[in-house]
Amino acid sequence: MSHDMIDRSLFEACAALPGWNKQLRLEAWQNWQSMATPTIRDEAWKYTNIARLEKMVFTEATSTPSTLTLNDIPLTIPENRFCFINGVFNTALSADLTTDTYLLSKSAWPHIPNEYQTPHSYFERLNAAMLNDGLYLNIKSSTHSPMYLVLLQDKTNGFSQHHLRHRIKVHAGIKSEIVIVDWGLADTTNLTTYIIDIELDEGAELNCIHLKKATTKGYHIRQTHSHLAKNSHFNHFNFDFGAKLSRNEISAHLNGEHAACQLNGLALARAQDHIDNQTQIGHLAPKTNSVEHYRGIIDNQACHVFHGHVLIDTNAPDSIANQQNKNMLLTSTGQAYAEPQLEIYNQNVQCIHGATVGDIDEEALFYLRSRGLSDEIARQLLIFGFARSILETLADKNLQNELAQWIKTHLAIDSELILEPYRENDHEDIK
Amino acid sequence: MTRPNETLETLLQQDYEHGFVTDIDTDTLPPGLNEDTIRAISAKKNEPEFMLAWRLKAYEYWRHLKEPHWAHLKYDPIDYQALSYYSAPKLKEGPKNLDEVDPKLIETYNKLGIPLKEQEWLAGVAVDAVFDSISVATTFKDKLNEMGIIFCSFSDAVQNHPDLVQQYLGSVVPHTDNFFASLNAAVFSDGSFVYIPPGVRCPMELSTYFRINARSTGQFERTLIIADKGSYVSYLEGCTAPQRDENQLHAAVVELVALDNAQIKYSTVQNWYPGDENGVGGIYNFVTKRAECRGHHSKISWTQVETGSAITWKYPSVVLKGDYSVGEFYSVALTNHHQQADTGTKMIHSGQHTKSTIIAKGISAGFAQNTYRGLVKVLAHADGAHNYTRCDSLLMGQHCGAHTFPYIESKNSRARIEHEASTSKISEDQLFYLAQRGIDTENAVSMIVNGFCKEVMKTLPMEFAVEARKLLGLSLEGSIG
Repeated sequence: MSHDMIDRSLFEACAALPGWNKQLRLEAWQNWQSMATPTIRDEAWKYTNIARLEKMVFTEATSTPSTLTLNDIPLTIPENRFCFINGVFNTALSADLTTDTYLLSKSAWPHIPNEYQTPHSYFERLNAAMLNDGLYLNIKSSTHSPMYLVLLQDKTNGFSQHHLRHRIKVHAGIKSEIVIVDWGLADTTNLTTYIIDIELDEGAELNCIHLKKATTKGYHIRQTHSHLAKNSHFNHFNFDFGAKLSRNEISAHLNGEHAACQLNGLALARAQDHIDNQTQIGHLAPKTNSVEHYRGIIDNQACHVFHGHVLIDTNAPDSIANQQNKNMLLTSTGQAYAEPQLEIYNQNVQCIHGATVGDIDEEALFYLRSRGLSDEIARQLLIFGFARSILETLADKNLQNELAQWIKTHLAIDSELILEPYRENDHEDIK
Repeated sequence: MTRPNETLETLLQQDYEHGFVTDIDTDTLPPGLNEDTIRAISAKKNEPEFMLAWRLKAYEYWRHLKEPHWAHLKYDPIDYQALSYYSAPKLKEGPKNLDEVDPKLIETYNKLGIPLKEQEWLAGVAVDAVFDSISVATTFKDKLNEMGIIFCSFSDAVQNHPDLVQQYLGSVVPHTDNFFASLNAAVFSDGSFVYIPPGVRCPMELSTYFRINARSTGQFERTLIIADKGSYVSYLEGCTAPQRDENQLHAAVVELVALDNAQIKYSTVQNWYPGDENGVGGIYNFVTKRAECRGHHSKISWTQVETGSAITWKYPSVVLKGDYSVGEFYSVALTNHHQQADTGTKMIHSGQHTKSTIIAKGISAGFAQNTYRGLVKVLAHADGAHNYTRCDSLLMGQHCGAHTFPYIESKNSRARIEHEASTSKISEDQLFYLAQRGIDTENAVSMIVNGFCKEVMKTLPMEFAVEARKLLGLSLEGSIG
């Protein structure tokens, strides 16, 4: 077995970079080469076919010097940020690095724990072999404003590839918020693997908001793995605006008593987008709590896959898990797949899950029509309302407003009515 | 207050009530599977050429298949060459009435609590009793004949109605369907065949009791039920098996076909030997059951109460082809000791305005693992399709597991799919409430569990509801951790 999508010379160029552990790279490369590409016969890839990736040949990422600026993204990015363009750290656009915040290429590789040094999955191995760079964030003090990690994808010659890995450690009792933005600006074909390892110490709390707008030709594979100690809280919000193939693998290991996680997500798939959300929650200690709510809006020929797996171990009595997946399928050319799974080995638990797939509720539509709204506006209101229930789980009101605008544009909603709820502050001003 | 666990222990330690072996001469093929075995089976049954050809085709296909292991089950490998593929009670002549049936068989039925005569008189149920692999007694045949209903053993159907068999055999579960279905197609010994002519409502519930008797004999039943336009039939299948130490393989296939406006109700109470409390012995049950609503406005409902078998691998499905057709699946799956069940259903919506309902209740006690695995698939042209799924699990004990693996696939925006599931243990509050009213833990649990399963139990025909409740009562009461 060998994969021709990435030429060996590219790997050798990576392996020759200073500051990295060559042996680990080589092992990962060899393991990746010897591994069969996942197919739809593999349970985890049942609804996502990556066979076409094998037929492509990806070249080096940074063939063109980038002239991108943050103004190219319709989102306010505060000063507290770190930017990567085509997988490479951009000093000019980023805040200063410190002793607690540094690049993996600057000797942070040993900080990746052992369990990550032997990657298992196909894309983890590829990532480890070809890693461009990443950040090590050692969060030791609570912050009120979020930190932004931005990945921009600019035009490149040919099919490009980017491989990033961040490691985030939140120390005991610290509260923090991170916003991760992946933005594809040029409509070129690229392959991105992006792995984020998160470790929460006792009593730590992290809000992680992930906004992804890859290109319509982009293949974007992202993995977010979190490990939670006693009393820690992890809230993950995943807003995916689609890509040719966007796969998000999110795992939460609730290792300590009273650890809790919330995984929410919104997939807005249209045109030929394919969004695949895979979540894994492991209740491995007593009295752990998880809440999960994923929604998908599927238009045109798009596809949304949701696979949610909740495991309750024998050592996790008195755990509570709630998992919901709702899909709005707007066309009969689109596809929705849902697999909400529970695997339970302890009797003292309360677990529920639910999944629905359907079009706009006819009764709700009738109700709005009866109040004089046109069919189009009524539909837009209902579609936006469906998305809003995820949007509103965000605590940050400013971000909520910006995202509402994004969603409006993305879904081509022209009615200003939907933004009414976000203008409450304006009304107060008028009063 | 007595510790509920003690009650549980006593209850769960009960011996298998139907564990006995009837000593009867059997005509058994030597162990092993090859083309000659299949030719021998076919020859013994005096089958026409098309049957042999079909069996051989299936065998050829099966030889290249690998046993599937995706289910949430753990068991020792099965040696398919160590099994004997044919076992038939020796009969000098076919019995014409109950008096002619081997008295030992009658005794077996009496031990099981199904005296044929009494059923004939009291319940109005025609019993096509399958003892091991071939059918030995059929009652009510004449009465059904008058109405044009065909209810006979599969072998008889092959002899007397080859056209119907050729037309429908393998049309729902083809010989290429899956590992166990292919194996069944190659070696199936016998089973039941039902044909209900157009516009006929079958006046009685048709019933077959299966028993696995001869040691080391794989049981490969095949049932085919055809409900022609505008007809109705209710079919009961019940199973008990003698106590054994070694595992027995059972790979049955059931095919149901409902044409325009026809309705089939298929109920099962499965109580095969589950193995002892250490997980030794027990039946391996790998069954392929599928129904096809071929005509418009047709309806098929599966009801199953699964309490037996060491391993259960069973997904009764409905393919909803006809417009406005309806599929239903009601299931209670109980696992205790080291039993493992991976069961559920598949609802494939292909016709417009098709509707399906799935109600699955899983109860897991001891060291058992109970898995619900279901697929709801809506194809692109199935406008107005609607599915409702509810699966609930009840856990009893620290070492058992309950798992839910639903798969939802929708390609139609005008389809509505709803799925909900919950998992919990019996609430202390409910037990306390009942204890307050002087009901002991055993009875309280029995009441709660029966309430938990009520939605499914009420869909069972009267005769079965009694037996099913008894089975649940035997295996479930008092299981509180």
